[in-house]
This record gives sequence, structure tokens and C-alpha cells, in this order.
Amino acid sequence: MSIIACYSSKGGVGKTSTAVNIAYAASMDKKRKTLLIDLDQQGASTFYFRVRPPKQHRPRLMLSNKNKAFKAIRETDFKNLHILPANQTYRNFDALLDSMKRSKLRLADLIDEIGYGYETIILDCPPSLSLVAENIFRAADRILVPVVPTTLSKRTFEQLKDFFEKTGYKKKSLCPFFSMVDKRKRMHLETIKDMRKSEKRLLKTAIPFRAQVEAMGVHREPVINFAPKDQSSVAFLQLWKEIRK
Amino acid sequence: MSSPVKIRRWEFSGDLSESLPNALPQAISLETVNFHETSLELFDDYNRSIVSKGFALIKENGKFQLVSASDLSSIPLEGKGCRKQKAVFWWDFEQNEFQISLKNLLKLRAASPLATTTQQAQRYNLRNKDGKVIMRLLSESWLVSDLEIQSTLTAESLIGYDAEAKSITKRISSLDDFDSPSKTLAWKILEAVGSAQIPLSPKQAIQLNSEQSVHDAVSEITRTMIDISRATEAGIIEDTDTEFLHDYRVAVRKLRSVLKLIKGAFLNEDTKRLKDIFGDFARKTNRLRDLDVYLLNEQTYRSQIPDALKPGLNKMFSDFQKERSLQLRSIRRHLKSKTYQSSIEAQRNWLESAASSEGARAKLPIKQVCSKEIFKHFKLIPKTGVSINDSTPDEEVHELRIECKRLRYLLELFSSLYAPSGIKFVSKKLKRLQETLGNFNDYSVQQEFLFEYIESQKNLDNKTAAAVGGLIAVLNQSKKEARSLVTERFSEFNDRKTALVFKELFSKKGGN
Repeated sequence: MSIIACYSSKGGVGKTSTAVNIAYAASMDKKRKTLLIDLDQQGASTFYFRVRPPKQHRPRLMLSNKNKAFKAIRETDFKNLHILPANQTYRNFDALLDSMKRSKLRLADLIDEIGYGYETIILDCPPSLSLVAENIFRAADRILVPVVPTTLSKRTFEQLKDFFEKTGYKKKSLCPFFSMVDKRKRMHLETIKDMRKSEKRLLKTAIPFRAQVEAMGVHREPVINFAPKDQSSVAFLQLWKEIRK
Repeated sequence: MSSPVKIRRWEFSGDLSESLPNALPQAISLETVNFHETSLELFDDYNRSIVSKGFALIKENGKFQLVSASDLSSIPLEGKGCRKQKAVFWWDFEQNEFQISLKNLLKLRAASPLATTTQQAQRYNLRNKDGKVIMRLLSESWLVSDLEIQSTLTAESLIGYDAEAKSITKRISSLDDFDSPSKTLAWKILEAVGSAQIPLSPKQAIQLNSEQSVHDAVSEITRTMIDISRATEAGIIEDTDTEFLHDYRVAVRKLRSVLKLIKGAFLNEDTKRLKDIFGDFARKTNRLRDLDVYLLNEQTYRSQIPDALKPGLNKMFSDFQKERSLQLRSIRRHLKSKTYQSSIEAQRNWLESAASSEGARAKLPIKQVCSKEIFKHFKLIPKTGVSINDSTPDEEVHELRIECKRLRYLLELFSSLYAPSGIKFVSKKLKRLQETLGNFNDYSVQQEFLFEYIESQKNLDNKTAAAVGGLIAVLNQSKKEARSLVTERFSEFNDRKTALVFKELFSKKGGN
């Protein structure tokens, strides 16, 4: 079982579209049993799979009673791809985790339990550098970090690296990649050139900025499914091939 | 994690596109997905062992799969590593779950292709008002030479959408012409190609009734056994598997033992003629059967001697294989010969008009006579057995074995006349004793067989001599072990309870 998190402390950098498409690509790759866990309170990836969160789906119950979490799992329209849907009440997630002993391992324990039988688990993460984030760092084998090639995003990534350094997490698990790349923008091109020189962990694949990715909200499907030939679909598949084991 | 499950199956008639929409709630839409047509071959052995146990062995696109007999598209166990096209044995496959299951089903039998069927599969998705798939449907039509033999609809639920699926399946079940499948699909396919008949097996007991005359019962057994042996001839000639010859021999043995053990059904000269003719037929196949047994046990033999000696057995087994080919050729010639064919046919015809050949006990009721014989042979066992101890000569042990064998044959032939529970008890008791005696005998015979092999070889090489010698030593040890168990097993058999049950079942003074 390999656990891949899509994480960034910055919002709007393409985390959810990456999580959704990577999960889809994984489930189509030799029929890997894949579970997507939507940890973001906005529930965008849940929405993209046309799933409604079940009633009585509360994080406190989920962590204390694993059976509840298990029952919340939904099969998406794609046979080997299942999803643990998000819920509005995740906004209490931090407080909840904080109140628990061994709080940095709670998510890892939960995944251990409900992840049985899945080959790949994808985490769609909320944008924050908090206890939820630390739970994610502990649980994940690899952390996909979308970086929009701008000065600000670059800085965010530097901060994440510093945080890993300070707290002793292994930087090895960080897999940054360029997201929402617009080749018409000079700043994008220069930042890419610049970062490729200094950042050896950067993945080769870059995800282009495409209208079809935004159209996922209309189609409510992974872009790979409704526009398989679009550059973004090709890039997401490429990204999956680069990170799969 | 859990997998999506098939929750319900219906057999239906009529047009789905007309009937199905009526069963769906308004908010649910039906989406036609992909259509798929595939053709597959259904395999089974002579006795239909696989389908009888609720499984089906199918070959699709060159791949063997073991599936449920009622749902050929159920999740399969997959066979690997078999390149054969026609008859397959369990040992033709790589070791995995499939192989183990097939071994339990087929034992020594070969499975051959019996029917070809075409599956036409149409998939549907049911979507809710969010456009989310909440249930999947699979409609399958099965055809045998363009004739539809079954149409089924299968509902599959999605994880997390059980409630929706449950309510929709309930609606579908209430439609006209949607019922639970009536008969196993695999049987229907076999029926469609005329292969659903399970051939008679010599192991099945013949159904007799107590009032039948001895003449009648013995004729019936003899007739049936001739029919069974004749039905196995094709399998022996084609050399499909070794069980055909085995069944042939069992049938002939039963035929001979009924004549021998229930005397006086026919005139003496007729009884003697039948016994002689079928005795000849049986003897002709002795050598081939012996070779079959050695070759089937090759792995066991190899495992019994040290690794270093194992290559030394190669020559012997390849000699056996060569001799088997010669033997098989001669048996084929024999079975196809006019002499054999007309001789066995003449005996079968004679039985049809054997009414005039009445022996001394021909008119007596069969149950009375066979009870007497069974009880007589039962009483003979302690007489031979009681004197056996560890120093008794082997001949006396053989005598005990033969006596037990006679009793066993009688019980097998006439079990249909007695209470099953009683027969089960005495058979079990007898079987335990017989097993030890049988082992003792088998090891002696095998030892001799190997001695003969060594003696028949001019210029035997050292390696072969050492390996065969090693095997003989192992057999001698096993023989001694079996021999040392005889006294114990005999006293287990020779107890009060067994005697009482025998008396109850078979003696005049008993419950009869």
C-alpha cells in the first residue's frame, strides 16, 4: 500500500484537481484498488465524483469509531476507485486532533485500519500548516506539492522545506511539481528555469494551465475521463507514471 | 476494503428496454453502456464431476477458469501454465488455488470440452439526480448454436449505495417475467448439446428390492456391469484418462464376484462360462493397470528415496512408459477386435433370454440369500483372523485379506437392500481393517514388481539398481509397518458391537 498526499499550505494551486486525476489514473493502472480520502472541508474532490457526504459523518466519530469511517466509503462511478467523502465539520478537525493523545499519528492509524486491501491511497489535503498537516506528513509515503511557478509559491515551498528541516520530517518524501503552468507568462518560464537549477527534487512533469481542468466542475468527472487527449490529461497521466512505484 | 457485490439475479424473458424503465423510480436514469460478445468452451469429465459439485470449468480466449456453475461470469479462479487444448488434468496447471480446487473436483479424471456457448453481455448504469452511478446492471444471454438457452439480469451494488440498490432490486423483482434462475446454467448448456446425462458408474449401488428373485437380481447386476464396462471402452481406446480402465475393471470384478458369491442363480455351466469369459477380459488388462498405478504414483515413489538416488528412477519410469504404450496398443486392438466384440455382445444377449437357465436358488428372494451369504462370510473373518499374531506366516494374512474382500464386495453389491445407517457402520469398520490389509498386500506386490523389473534388465546400470533397490527397501519397511498393525486393526473389527450390528442386519435370528 502506498499513501500519496496532495498538499500545499497555499490554496488554489491545483491540489484537488491533481488528487482527483492521480487517483483516477492509479485506479485505471492495472486495476489498482484506490482510495481517495477527501480531507478538505470544501469537499471539492467529493463533488467532482458526484458523491454526497453521508449524514452523520463526523470526524470525531470517524477517528474514534473506525467502522463509521469504513461505512462512509463510497464507490465512485469507476470500479476500482473509492472515496471517503469530505464534510463541512472538518473545520473542527484541528481542535479535535489537538485534544487527542498521540495526535500526530491519528490519521496514520485511521488509514492503517480502513486502507486494508487498497494498493494506493490518495489524500486530498486542506491548505494549512497545522496539526492536520503534521498528521498528513506522518501518514504519507510521498507528498505531492503543486508549485505554481511564481515567486510567492516558490516562497511557500521554501517555508515547507524549512518546516520539515526544523521538525525533523524527511524531506525525501517531498515531491514538488509545477502546476498551472502558463507558458505565455514570462515569470512562469523564468521561475521554472530558476527552480530547476536549485531544486533537485522537482518532478519532471509539469501540469499546464488548461480550461478543461476548470471544466471539471461542470462535468463532475476527472479531466482524464472526459477529455483524455487534452494536454492536462496527458500531463496528469505522466505525473502518475513518474510517482507510482 | 470490500468489493462490489452481485446482489441479485433474475431469469427474464421479453425485451429489457421495455420492461426495465417501468421498474425505476422517476429520478433514476438508465444508461446503456457497453455490449460485449464472447464465446467459451465448457469442460467436464466423464462423470460430470465439476458441474455436479456446482462449479464449471470454462476456457475463454485460451484461458482456463473455474467459476460457479450457475453464474459463468462469476469471479473466477484462473488456471495457469496449461497449453493443452483438449483433455486436461489438474496436474497440467501451475500450483495455485485453481489447481487445488480442480484436483479436488477431478481427482484422476481428465476434463474434455463438451460444449461451446456464446455470451452476449449488455451493461447498464443507473444514475441518480446528481448523475452519480448508484447501481450497475448486467444482462446476459447465453446461446448454444444460435439458440438462446438463458437470459439473466444481474444487479451489482456500489459500495455506499446499498439502500438505493435494495429498493430498486425490490421493484425489479415485482415485474412480470423476472424470476430467480430455475436451473443451473452449466447444466442447461450441457442439456442443449445432449451431454447432461451422467454415465452410470460401477461405484454406484444398483437399486434392488427385497422381493426380487435371486435369478432376477443377479441378472440385473450382471447386465448393468456389462453395460458400464462397454461404456468405458471408448475412453480406454482414446486413452482420455486412466479412470476408464479402472472403471472397466471394477465393473468386471463386480460382475464376477456376484456370480461367485451368490451361487445358484443360473445353471452351473452358464455361471462358469460367464465367470471364465470375464475373467479372461479382466486378466488381459492387469499389466496395463499395474503400469498405470506405478506411473500415477511416480511422484510419491520419488519422494521416498534420498535426492541423490532420484535420477536413478528415470530409466525405470521411462521403461514403464514405453511398456505402457505397447500394452495400450494391444488393449486397443483387443477391445476393437471382432472376437471381443462378438463375445461380450453374445453374453449380453444371452442374459436377455437367460430365464430358462435356472440354478438351485434362482427362485428364492434375493434378500434372504444375500443376507445368508453376508453373515456366513462375516463369521469366516474371525475364524481366519483370530489366530493371527506377529509371527503368523504372511499367507494367513493374505487369506484374511481375501475373506474381507469378499465380504466387502457383498456389502457393496447389496447395500440397497438394507438400512443405510447399518451398512454405513459395518462398511466403515470393515474398511479400516481392509485398508491395513490392502496396504500390506500392495507393498508386497509392489516389491515383487520391482524385483521382476530388476531381474528382467540385462546390464542394469548402477544408478538404476541403487534407486530401485532403495525403493524396495522403503517398501519393505512400509510392509512391515502395515503388518504390525494387522492384529490391532483386527481386534478393533472383532468386537461385540460389530458382531451385534451384523447379526441385526443379516442374521435370521436378528431383526430381519
